[in-house]
Amino acid sequence: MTLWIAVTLAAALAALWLAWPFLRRAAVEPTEADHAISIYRDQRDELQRDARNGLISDAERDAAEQEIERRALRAARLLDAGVSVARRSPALAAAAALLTLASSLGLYSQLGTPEAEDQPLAARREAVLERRAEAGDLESRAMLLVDRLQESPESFEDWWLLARSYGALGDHASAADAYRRAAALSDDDPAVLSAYAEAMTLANGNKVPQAARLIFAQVRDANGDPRARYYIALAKAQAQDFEGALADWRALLADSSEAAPWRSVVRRDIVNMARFLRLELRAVLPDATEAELAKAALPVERAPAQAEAPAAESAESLTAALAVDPKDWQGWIRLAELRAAEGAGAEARAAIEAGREHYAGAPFVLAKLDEAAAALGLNGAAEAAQGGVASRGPSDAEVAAAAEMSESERDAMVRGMVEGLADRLEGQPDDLDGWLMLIRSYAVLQDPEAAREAVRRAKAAFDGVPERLEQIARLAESLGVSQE
Amino acid sequence: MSGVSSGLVPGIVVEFGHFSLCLALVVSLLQFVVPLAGLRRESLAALRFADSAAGLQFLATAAALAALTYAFVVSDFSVANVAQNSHSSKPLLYKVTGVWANHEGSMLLWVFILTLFGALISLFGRGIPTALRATVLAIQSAVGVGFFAYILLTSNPFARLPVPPLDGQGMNPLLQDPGVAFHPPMLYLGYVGFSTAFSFAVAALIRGRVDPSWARWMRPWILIAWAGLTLGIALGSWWAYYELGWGGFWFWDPVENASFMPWLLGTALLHSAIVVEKRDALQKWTILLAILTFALSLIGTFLVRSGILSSVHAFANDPERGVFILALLVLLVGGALLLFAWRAPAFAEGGVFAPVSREGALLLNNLLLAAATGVVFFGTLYPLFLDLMSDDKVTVGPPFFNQTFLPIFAVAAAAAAAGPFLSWKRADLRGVLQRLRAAFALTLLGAAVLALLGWREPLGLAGLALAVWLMTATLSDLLARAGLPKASPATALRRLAGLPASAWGLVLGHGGLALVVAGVAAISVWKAESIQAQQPGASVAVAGYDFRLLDVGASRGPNYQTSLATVEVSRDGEIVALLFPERRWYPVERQPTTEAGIETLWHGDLYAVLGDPDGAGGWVTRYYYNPGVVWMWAGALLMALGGLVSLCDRRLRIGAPRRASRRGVGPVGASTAAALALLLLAAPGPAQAISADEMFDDPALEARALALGKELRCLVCQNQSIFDSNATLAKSLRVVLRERIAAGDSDEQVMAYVVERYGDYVLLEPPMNARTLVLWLSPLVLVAAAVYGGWRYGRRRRPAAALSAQERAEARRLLGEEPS
Repeated sequence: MTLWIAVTLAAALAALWLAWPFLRRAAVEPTEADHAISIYRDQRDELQRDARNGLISDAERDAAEQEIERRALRAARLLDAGVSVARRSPALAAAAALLTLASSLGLYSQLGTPEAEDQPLAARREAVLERRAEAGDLESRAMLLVDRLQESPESFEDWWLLARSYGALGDHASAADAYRRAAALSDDDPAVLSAYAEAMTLANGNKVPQAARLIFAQVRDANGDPRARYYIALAKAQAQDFEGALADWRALLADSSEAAPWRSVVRRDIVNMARFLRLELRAVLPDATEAELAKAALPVERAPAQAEAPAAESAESLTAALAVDPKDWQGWIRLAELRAAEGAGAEARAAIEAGREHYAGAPFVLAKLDEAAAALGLNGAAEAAQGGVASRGPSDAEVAAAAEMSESERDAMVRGMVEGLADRLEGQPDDLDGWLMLIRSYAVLQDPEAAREAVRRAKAAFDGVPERLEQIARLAESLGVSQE
Repeated sequence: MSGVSSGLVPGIVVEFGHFSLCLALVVSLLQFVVPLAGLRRESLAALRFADSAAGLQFLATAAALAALTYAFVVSDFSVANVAQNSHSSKPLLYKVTGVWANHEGSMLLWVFILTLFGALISLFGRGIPTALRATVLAIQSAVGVGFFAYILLTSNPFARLPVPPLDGQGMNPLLQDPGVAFHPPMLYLGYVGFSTAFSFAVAALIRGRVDPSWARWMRPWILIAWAGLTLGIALGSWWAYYELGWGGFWFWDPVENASFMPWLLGTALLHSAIVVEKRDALQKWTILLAILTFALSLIGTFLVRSGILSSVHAFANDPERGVFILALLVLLVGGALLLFAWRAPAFAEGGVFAPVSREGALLLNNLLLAAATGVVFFGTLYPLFLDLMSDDKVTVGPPFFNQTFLPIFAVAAAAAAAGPFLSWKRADLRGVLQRLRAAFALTLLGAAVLALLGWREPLGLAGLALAVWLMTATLSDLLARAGLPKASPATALRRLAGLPASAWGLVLGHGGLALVVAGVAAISVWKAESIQAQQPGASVAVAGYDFRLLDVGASRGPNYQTSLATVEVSRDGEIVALLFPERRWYPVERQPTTEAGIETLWHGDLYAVLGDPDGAGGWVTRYYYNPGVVWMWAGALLMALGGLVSLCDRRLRIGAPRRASRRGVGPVGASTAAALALLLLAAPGPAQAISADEMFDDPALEARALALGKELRCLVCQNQSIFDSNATLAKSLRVVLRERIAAGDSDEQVMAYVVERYGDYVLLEPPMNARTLVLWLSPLVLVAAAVYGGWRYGRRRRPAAALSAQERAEARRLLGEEPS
């Protein structure tokens, strides 16, 4: 309503303003000749000044003066018929006013969105965040809590929720900070302290810092919290006190009920520890399953403290999450990192590959996946053999440039990348990843002819290496590329 | 969050802005129709209506622009344009400049400046007869009708989103730079400013009258537009120089050419209007120039806005916007040219002049500038034309323009030195040559000194000599006007003080041009460059300066992260400067930018660019010594200043027949506060192409690769060489190039190999063959046409009969008494 009042008022003012020239009293204007002659008068005066200063000769002055005089005469003869009288015309005034009023309002009602109010970010941020938080977006919930805490920083409830949100988002450093505030407000409630120390540990790359260990000890002494006991054992393991750690975990397992959710974690750590210490598993875990026995018998690759339980657990939950929502490339990279940290190179590689499958058309993501793979050392022998040629994916700059290009430019760029790749493989045919990427690229570019050819050449390059041939065939099949 | 509380402003700002834009369209339509009807019916009220409408149109457009700016400042993401082009984390300055750093907003700024010119004409043009002023405003408004309709129907900046996003998509970080804030407004001031010349020209055609008074009334508006365009081009070039990070300032890419062509023709117009004003000659030519200059501005807008540059086919895929502008272009320019063909033959040409005279020199300047414009026009559009006709691709790159445009322009610049010495009508050639003797001697002396100092490249030396020639001739003209060396110092000073402002404008304009010529010659010929992978602590010598990379640290800006290098530059063991090149990363837009580290010395710039880490603890760095750069910017500034000084000339304020005093022509500053980004939407990406792994260890081989690569274009960019681009195609071409060099090919073999694989398209300099014959012949044809035109013009002039004594008495009565 306000809008229509303002708009109508403005239109009315504009209409009046435009009607005004037709309502003014009659006036007489100087004729056009007067205007022109005043210019020539000025030219003549300038000429005289020049002559006085000796810049031009008398003959030049006379000729120029004649020209100016000729112009003045012509102006006087030709231009006298100018308009010089203004008449009042209420009819024209009304017409101009009505036309302005009606067509501006009419045009706006056709094009405008009168019901839409301004929505400055400051005013609607909270509403938007709330809507998203309700829909399950943790980031929005965290932002909302941050906003709320700026107003009332004394709310334990909000700090607690914020900390949990950060934890769920994987931002453990922020979570630890928020838990610290919550712990202070809760009068050092042991449950809060325990969560705080856990967040500190997670933020520290799963190494229990000294401060966290002290807090865990305090909590354990207060109420025997299983989480505190677990982390103290982990801290012992990380401090090379393996027997102590094993004893603590066994004690924790013995004190836990059958339904306790942390049992599987503790069991796995016991298995790992037994493997690392080359102990008979049945001696420390009498009810060990077949699978656990088999695992404990595996040769030791890494120190158990680095392949610790929480990481393995989140790798599993991540796998589950990615099964539901595969369009989370960062998730795939995290998964690969976790798998690699476990020493499961094949599974890490599979995670990267799976991520690439889902993002075959997105060069930026492919580059990121490649980068992650390279950082994790997953490119293996092929990479090492190539030596000098480092990152083959497009650089961030190129990808960013691609995002700005038009469809056809992007196509040209993709084609360029593909051609570059094909050229390179010509010289270095023993690059399996390169071939897989090439085949996939042609499939994305919807060029089945070229894709088939690439499959053929890739197979030729790895003739006699069944494992590689199978990988190529599998990819070709998944992309629907014919293999003759 | 933003300081603007929603309680202060009722939530209707955006929609009120949208309404204002609708109102502006209605008013522009009335302002187009009513005064023209008034002209027919001889109604003074209908003519005066133009003034009221011009003021209102400006207010309404300003309100719309203000509303859009408000939406950007408070981050109202319910406005689609804001959501697509802004982000809440952007610094306030770039929220404001974001208004015109996108298509819709820049078009709104375009019409804002158009209506600003309309309002200024109605406000400060009261000396212009009402009928002429009203006709000019009506034509100005006809342009406005087209663009308001274009904005509202195809590019509405006020379109709303039903579900606004939480945050915007951000703004190209390349544009988040103070240089960009002022480059586009200036450029539009020029582009749009020439609409006034167009309106004056069409008004003259409609009314069938053109005379010296018309030229004088038009002149201030051309001066504003020209000065704005000069500054706009210079700022754009400066921005490209320090932001894109490869030390280049001009690439002859189509977007640059689009702004350069109106400047060239506008410069011609500026000079031909003087002839109309002084001698009542060249009227038809001047009218044609005014129409064509604005036509080139519109074509520039069309080229950049329609996307036709990136690909003829991309344009055909999404033609709505492009076709609208094209239709507008055809309607406005075609209509004006038809009117010209119909009415111009009736115009009588006035004063006659000898070939050697001030008018003759100005005509020569016009013909050369027009031929030069034609060369640029042809070179810019030829690839498009060829693509459209035959699907053949050819590249017209800097080598073509340098070989064809520069000689023509050099002749014009050399003649500009002599022009001011010639007197009107008929000049005494021997006398003029005599007065130029000193300047000529100084030029020879200067060239000899430069050659002795070791500046021996013939082309560079010729360029510097041209600059010295123009500068000394311009200054000696100034001294002669002061009466020196004969007059006493006091008289000379008095005379200098008494010179009209336009004389100072001439000195500044021509002097500025001399500086630009010197700068361009120096940097083109003596630029030194070095690309390498460099360990911290290592040092590289470029043009006698040692660039030592001290360290590279990480840092953080308001909305970006950055790697900040410290480079110490020393000469003969003495530290000259510390440079801080940066490589920034904007996370929201996922885009990097480079910030060059530049130290400006009086003779040239030390220029450092930071690239990627080389993986072995070092960084790829590019260092340049760019001589003469600062002369170039200073020269461009002087030229623009010359235009503004001329604007202050007392004579431009004459014209109100009855009222004696008038205020100045107009506050230029007001419109310079606004700005926009036309060039930038098509701007090339940042440099930093070269990564360490592809480079030769042997500097000699690397130098060869660099020299060859500069002649090859990046296939997906606009006229950039493969060494100036970061596209993957450019990189793979560089790799091919290096492989051939490593294989021991000669330079010719390498080029032949590349051309065989990629076609002529890859060469920045188009080869001479059947497909490009027309292109290479075009400069010759254009110059020949100019010469022929000038000869024909001179041939058919007949002097007018002398006035009788009676007529002279009558004229003197009209002109009034002579001042004592």
